[in-house]
Amino acid sequence: MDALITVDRERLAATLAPRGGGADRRSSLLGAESGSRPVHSEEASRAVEDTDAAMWRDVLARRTPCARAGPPAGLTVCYADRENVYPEQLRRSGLGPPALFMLGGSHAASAAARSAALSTLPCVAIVGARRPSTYGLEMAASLGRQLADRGVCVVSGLAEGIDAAAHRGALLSDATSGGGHVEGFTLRTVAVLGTGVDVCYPRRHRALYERLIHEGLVVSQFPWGTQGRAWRFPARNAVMAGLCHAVVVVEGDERSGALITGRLAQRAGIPVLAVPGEAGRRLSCGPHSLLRAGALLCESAVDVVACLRGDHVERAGGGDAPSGMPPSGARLREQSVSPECLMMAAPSARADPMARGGRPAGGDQAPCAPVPVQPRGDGAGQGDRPSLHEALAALVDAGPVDVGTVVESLGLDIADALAALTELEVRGMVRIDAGGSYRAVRGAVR
Amino acid sequence: MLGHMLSVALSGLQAQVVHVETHVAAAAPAFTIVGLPDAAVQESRERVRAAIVNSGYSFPSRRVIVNLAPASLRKTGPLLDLPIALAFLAATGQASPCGTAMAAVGELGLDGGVRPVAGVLAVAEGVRRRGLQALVVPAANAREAALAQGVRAYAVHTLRDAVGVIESGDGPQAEPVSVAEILAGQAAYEVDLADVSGQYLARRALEVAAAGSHNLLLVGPPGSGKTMLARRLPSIMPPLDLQEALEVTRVHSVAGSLPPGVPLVARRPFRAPHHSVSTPGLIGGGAVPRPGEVSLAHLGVLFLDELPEFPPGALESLRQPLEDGEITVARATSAVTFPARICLAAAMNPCPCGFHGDRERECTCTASRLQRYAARISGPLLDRIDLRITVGRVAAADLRRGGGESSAAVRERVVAARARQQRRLAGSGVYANAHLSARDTRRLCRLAPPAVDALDAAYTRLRLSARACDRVIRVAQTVADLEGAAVVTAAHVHESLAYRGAGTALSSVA
Repeated sequence: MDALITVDRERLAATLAPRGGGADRRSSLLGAESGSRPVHSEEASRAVEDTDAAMWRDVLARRTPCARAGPPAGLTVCYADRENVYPEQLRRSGLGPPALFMLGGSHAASAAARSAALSTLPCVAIVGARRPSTYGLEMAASLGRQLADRGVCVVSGLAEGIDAAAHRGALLSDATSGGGHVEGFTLRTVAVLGTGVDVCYPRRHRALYERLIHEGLVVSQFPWGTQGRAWRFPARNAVMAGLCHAVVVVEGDERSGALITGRLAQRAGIPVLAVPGEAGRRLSCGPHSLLRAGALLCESAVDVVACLRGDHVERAGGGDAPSGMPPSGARLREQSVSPECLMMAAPSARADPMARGGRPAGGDQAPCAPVPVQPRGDGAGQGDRPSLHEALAALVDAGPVDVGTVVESLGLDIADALAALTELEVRGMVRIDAGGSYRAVRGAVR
Repeated sequence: MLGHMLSVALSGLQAQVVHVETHVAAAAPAFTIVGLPDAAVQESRERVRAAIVNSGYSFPSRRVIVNLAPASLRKTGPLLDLPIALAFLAATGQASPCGTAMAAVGELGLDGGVRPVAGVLAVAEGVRRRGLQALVVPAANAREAALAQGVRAYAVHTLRDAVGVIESGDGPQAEPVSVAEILAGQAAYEVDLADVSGQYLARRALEVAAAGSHNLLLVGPPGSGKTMLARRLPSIMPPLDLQEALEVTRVHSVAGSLPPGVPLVARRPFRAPHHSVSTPGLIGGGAVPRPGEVSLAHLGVLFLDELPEFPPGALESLRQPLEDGEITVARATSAVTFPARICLAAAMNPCPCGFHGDRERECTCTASRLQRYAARISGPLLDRIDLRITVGRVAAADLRRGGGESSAAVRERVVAARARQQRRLAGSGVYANAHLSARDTRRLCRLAPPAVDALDAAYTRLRLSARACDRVIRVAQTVADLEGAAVVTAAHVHESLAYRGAGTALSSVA
């Protein structure tokens, strides 16, 4: 669709000398993490500074095989040095590549419109471990959904685990209005890939990838056809962080890429939030070390929204954060995104799309005491059902339980216990995790 | 001179009468057996010759031809030794000719002793079907032969005894066996459900499996007691009745796996083949078709531990027995059918490292490894497993406290549930809920309106497939039968949804 831009990193690295500018910033940030392995978008930006853009395109066009194959249909490219569709916050962060490839928009809105939305929407990245726990997956999915409900664009990397859960959670949201509303279309989620936009990695996520192209946006700093290599992912993480107004790290061990992204964002002045985990667990190391370094605590989308709006985090019923001690990195960046586009001051102010008649919209605050449940009209002497469900919900809230514990604590018959637990599961209040324990669903509409 | 004796050859579980004819001619000495004998029958020549000589009879140097008619039927096994010897003795005038009212089977030792053979029950039943009155059997097989009522079974220890029986037409008979007595006496199992600590979910699932004859999959980390639980499943199934006991005994008798001295199998079998078993070993076969593990588990439990480790071909071959209740082994010359109505119990780890979902230890498997592991169980096989549960490790407190309900208590409930099922399913061609087809499920399982709503809600919220819905209905019907309810209620549906295997790695596979 647009002009060809291709990059030949090995040749360029050999022929072009390093210069200042965005490349330096990115490389200095990255170099602290991944050593001095050259990142090819560095070379590209050097090239931009060194030569005229047209000559650069020409040079590069001769060097890369994929240039000969041609770009995939629907591909859009936006250049850092010209068009308006280049996301503003990415440009201002200094982490942006010279060219951003985008794919998406086979329905409702064109890719250009979607990429324009990137500049007007608040974007939040959700990153985390590739092999998270059930808790991490749940948090990522519910955060993704809640943020999308509020008109925030959820950005992640299409990787296994947390990334995919965040994308899927955002796609579940049926938000139809908000700041991202462009041409009747809401951009709920964007994937920033470590490969070319037409390469789906990992292959298992093919269906999710197709959905993202159809209903969201897929962007990459790498030319089409680029395959996944280990060194490209830290570079992708830098661009992902630069694209966003906040980064949420859900789970990750001490060597995870998500932790690197978090630290990178902190150094770049992008607000970082971390979801705490169980003390001492391997997967909690990453978020906890970020918290120690000054990241904000994230329990739900409320915290993220408050951070984006520059407020101190307020707990339901609790006080303000201690004054005089704003967390470092929480500086709200002045930008094209106005806080007003972050809808709903408080979750309860917005009608939850999930609320059906009669059910209280508890929103997504930390689960507190269970709400009394209406008895099901099942006949056969079920008058004591509500109290059983209450007791059960309280038990499950305290932590994951298996059936044996339920039977013993509540003195139930096994058949009754199973039936009651499954009823709660059908209502969406509990879910079964791997290993057969029942745990409360966070953010469940009770 | 010509001698003749009746005997029996087994083809699978079917017994066919064989005419053993012996012709002794004055010609160069030779001993030939014709009539498609297999290797064991060919070796009879040596055994027969030595036994005859050592019993005090003479073996003249003549040409001997033995014909086993019908000539087109393959003769297998050493059970034809005795009739060949008797026919020879008749042919050489050393014994009186036997009429056509008596048959004989037995293996001969070199000393002239008559040794036990396999399949005597099937032989005796075949003899009875042909209208013969009497059967000469090795003494060690006498009680087994007596199980087939209506045939006089003469027990012989040596070749001389057998000749005596033929000449006099009478001899020591096996005592008549009271099947009911044996059933009552031997019904106690060595294992009991009371040995199991805790594991409420698994116990309940075992009960439901036994009541409705549902197949069961136990998923859990190593050491969670899956094998222990599966071993106790036969002990809570309804006791074998007379016909069933005879069916089981017949198969085990033909396979040669009846324990010595035990004429009747009174307990439901429990077979647990190792996962290195071959397909013919599992379902039956071989050049001469023999029953496989699946037939030896007929009317009992076939336990496949480490299910993903079984060869895929072997698992695929289980589909016919699981569906039809029998297995047909086809060979170039014949097709043999063995019964195989089993309750399948399978166990597997949740993932290759075994700790997926464990609270204490961390699973080190990648997502793709998990998926590949789960995919080793084929969809069609998994479809036939109605109950899939997670078996967790037993908490320390449970271990100290000891067991729960005994097998006898659970068995009572199971028997009552089966009786209700049989009343409801009369005329439908199946005897348990698990064997209902999709159409019959809808027709014969009555759901109360709240139960229908509950199922609809679950279908949407829990994203069930249509097949999963059918499974849930069948299991819910069994749960209702256990409770004695007239219709299936929402509580029954909810309970049976708990057995769909949501917490296992298989939850991503249908």
